[in-house]
Amino acid sequence: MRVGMSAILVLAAFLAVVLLQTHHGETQHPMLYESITTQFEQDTASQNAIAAILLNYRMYDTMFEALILLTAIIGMQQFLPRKVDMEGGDKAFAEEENHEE
Amino acid sequence: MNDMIDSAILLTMCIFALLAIQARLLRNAIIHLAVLSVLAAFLYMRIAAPELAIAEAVIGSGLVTLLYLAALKRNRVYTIGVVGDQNARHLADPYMHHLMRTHALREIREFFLIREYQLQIVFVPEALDEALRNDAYDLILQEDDSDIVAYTDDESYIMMELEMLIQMRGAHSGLRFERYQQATPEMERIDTAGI
Amino acid sequence: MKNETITADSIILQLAIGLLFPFMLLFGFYIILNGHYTPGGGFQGGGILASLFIARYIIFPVEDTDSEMLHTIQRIFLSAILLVPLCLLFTGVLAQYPNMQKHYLTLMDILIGVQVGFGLGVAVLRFAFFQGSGQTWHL
Repeated sequence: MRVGMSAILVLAAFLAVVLLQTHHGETQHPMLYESITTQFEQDTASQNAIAAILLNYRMYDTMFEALILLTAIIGMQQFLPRKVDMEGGDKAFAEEENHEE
Repeated sequence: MNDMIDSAILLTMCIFALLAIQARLLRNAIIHLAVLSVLAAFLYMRIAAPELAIAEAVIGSGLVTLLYLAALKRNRVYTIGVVGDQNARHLADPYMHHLMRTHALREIREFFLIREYQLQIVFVPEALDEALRNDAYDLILQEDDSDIVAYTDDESYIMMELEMLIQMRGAHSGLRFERYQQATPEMERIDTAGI
Repeated sequence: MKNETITADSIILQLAIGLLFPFMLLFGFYIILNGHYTPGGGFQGGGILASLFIARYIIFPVEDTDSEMLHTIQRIFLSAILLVPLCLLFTGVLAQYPNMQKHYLTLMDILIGVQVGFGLGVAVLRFAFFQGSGQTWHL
């Protein structure tokens, strides 16, 4: 029931986006495009436009991308069990078994 | 011509995506996804986005495939030991082939395939009672006249399920089950991973 | 564990990866250091550096990689990633010294590459090798 409802919802949203927003030929303002492609080399001394954008024009994007990665790793370090913990658990379990015998 | 190559790559990607969805074994699905990633990287390369191509090749088909394989490895592997004649070890391969073709083995493999358990079948060079004492095998098969006798641990639920299924499928599949008590109680490791 | 004898190390795999190892290292650093010149950069090179951790684990299946230490290094590098643009780029110092631009790009590429590489390395090591049901994992 819930699956069906959510499927209908997703389908409705998709249809709404497709039908209402018919012009999805997004065009960049030619000034911005030209200023980046012609001036990136003298602005940033980089031969590679993507490196210029990533490390100079859109530096905040790169910084917070790195921050997201660090957040994911912190969560992983916190919540995943360690090998040492599991070995300790196994040893305790084995000792319990031996005591029962 | 260039368009044709692009559409050929796209079509192959679709085929591999469908294969990954339809694969019965998860391991095959992972490999299909890796091939899909490589094709995507090639496509990025063709539409002049080499940065994305490198990222896709390294992360999509390298690290993610490895993570999936590692996750799959956490599923246990079931081992079936086949006890054969001790003196005829050089006959192991033809004997195994002969056994694989039997109806009973096909039923067992189907059982494990449906549940997506990894299964490996090995030839046991030891004698039967020695193999029974060894707890490296989950199921031990021995050919007896016309039947195949399967020795199962009587505490293993999955083997009980297998036995029930085989009985439901009909007794004439040439498989007989024998229960045995393992001498030393096998210590199952507690899976703390899910906690 | 039960199937210890069957999942033995493969000598072919170990030899092949051992031969490839220095080239992988070289390729990773090439991609990182030439980020401002050829396609590639910090993130892509970092991915290759992360795969080096796996390769090393396959060659020597010894679990002496200290994930805590890698994590600490990653945090230090992240603070550098946040601090260097704050001091150089956003204050406008970099625009006054055009000679420093190339060094700044290379420095940022190295910082991001090491950060991403160690981060993904920690992730893969924790997921793949330290977790499994207490059993070391081989290909």
